[in-house]
Amino acid sequence: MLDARKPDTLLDVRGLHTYFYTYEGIVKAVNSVSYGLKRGEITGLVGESGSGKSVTAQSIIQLVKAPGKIVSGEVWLDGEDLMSLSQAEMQAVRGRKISMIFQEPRAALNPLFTVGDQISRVIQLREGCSRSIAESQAVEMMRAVEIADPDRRASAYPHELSGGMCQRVMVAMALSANPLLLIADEPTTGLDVTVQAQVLDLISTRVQSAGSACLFITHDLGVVAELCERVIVMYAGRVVEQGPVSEIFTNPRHPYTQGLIASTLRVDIDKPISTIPGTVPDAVHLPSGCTFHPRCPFAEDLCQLEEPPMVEAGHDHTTRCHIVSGRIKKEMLEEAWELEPA
Amino acid sequence: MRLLQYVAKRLLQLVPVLLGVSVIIFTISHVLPGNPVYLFVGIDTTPEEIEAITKRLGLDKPLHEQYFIWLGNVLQGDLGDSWFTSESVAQDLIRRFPATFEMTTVALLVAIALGVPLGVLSAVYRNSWIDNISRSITLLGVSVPSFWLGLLLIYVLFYLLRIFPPPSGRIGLLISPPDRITGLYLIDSLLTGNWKAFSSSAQHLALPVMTQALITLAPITRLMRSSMLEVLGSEYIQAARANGVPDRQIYFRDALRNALLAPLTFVALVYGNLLGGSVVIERIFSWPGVGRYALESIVVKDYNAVQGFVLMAAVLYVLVFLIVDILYFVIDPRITA
Repeated sequence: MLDARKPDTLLDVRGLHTYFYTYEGIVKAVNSVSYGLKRGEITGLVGESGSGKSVTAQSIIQLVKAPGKIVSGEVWLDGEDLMSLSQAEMQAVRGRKISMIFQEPRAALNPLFTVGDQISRVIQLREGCSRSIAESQAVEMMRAVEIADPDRRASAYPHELSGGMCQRVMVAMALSANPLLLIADEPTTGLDVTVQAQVLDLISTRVQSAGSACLFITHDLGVVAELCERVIVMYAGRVVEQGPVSEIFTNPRHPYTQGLIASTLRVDIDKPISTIPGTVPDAVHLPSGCTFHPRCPFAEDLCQLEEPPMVEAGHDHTTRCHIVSGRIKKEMLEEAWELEPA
Repeated sequence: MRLLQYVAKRLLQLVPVLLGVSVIIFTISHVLPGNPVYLFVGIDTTPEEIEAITKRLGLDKPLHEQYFIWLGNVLQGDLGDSWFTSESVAQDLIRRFPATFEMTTVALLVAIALGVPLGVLSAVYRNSWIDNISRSITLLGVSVPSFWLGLLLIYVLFYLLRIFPPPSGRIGLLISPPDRITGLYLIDSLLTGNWKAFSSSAQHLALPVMTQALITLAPITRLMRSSMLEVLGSEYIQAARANGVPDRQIYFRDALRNALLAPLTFVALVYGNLLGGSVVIERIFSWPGVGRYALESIVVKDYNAVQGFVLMAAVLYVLVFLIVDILYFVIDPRITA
């Protein structure tokens, strides 16, 4: 297995399946997902709510909440298969080799402990150093993420800080580990636009200087275009398209990606706000064949019957579509889209 | 400093609360049907004598004046005399309260000491055998009435197995109680080195404490479990795990403190209630506490005693909540003075 990995690939996810066993049935939240992340690169993971983005991240660090379960798959990090690790070994990976930043910074901090206490504890756990050394390192980390007056702020409780400040604290905590892999799960969703830009800048400079890889989960294509080198598009638990940002944004091959990009709000051209018709399918009863076919303007009978495999769509660019693979001979014309005005 | 400020503020807030309580208690006892004067008179009492007694009791004065006289007396610790025991109500309550206090406090401590870990364990090992055992115990505690449980324990542990002494009160009939220091037999016997009294009173405590503790433990365990589950599912616990914090620390450092907040209010509520005496349990175990005193006073229409008891219960309730509020203030930094 190892021989297939490219040397600069840091994270290699292969055939990952994570299912949720609910009363209504099995939800295939992550269904045969494979992708690779390179060192020093930020990869955007995009998709609508419920497409399986966050569960993919939780599966990598093996913190899927019940009733979810990782059914199969391999997660190679720096030449090590995380799936073969024991729970204790995996715990040692978290917060050391892999760190995570969460969507709601204030909810992700314990309300009963000061932020300095929370950062220094993570440092102390990892380094096994004394309390006072960890505390001074925590203040240094806070200074590194541009928190003004870190000495005073260290003794503040999360509720005493703004959302942006809390997210900086989370970033400080995550980056204090110098992780190989940083997973950012919609880290800027709840923040003001200006604060958002600052946090993104912080993540991007730290990732590049540390030579780590970053999986950046978002539903904001604008952020992806600006921040990421590569992009992975997920739909209903599957990766439908992946490739370099430059390629995907100029030449999206999967109808869903095309729809996503077409429905992105743009200020440079005069275009009404619009959405892809329909909604993400019911997770328990997924459509047959290609899961996107009910919403796809190019769908044919074959799309209902057979699931398309992942095929090459360009240089370092793959997608799942019968039209791209040539099984269906058809032009994907932009006029076919009947985007709904929002 | 912050804490002192908070305590001072909360103490000041108690004044209007207690005044309100005193008005309600006074009003209720004066709108109750029946004229207390008739309790002092015989068949041949003349109307002049009745008038004299009414005057002597101050019942001819306007109601608000009567209230201030009564309040003045209460503030000096005079709750009036009991017509039934013919002693001062304050003395009666002081004599009986330690019995109730000792039993309910030990029961509550036992319930907390068992209920909190049991709730935590059943949340951590959700749907495991330990969760099932805890569910059975709590189901029993919630659904079984205290009088039945008390009688069952007496039947099995005293009558059949002879492990514990008969339900004859706080101490063996042939053993003299320890010299009164606090009125709490366990503590007084320890302080005076009276081992015989200590062991006897501890044995007599066992059955009522078990009864009370099992019934109190059930909701504490359930609350603790659901509170812990909620906290364990929260984002900051997930974040702590993602940062590599070991499970043991997650449970006992990150989660427990947060999870304790919800059951704390419930414990206060229960304790406030229990300190007013558990009528049923005190009766079953011949426990000479305030609950039985209140019941007996109600039966013989001993208004002063009932009034004094209600006032005491209200004050205790308010005090327990004061303590809990202070605890919240210490635990939760989000609460500001």
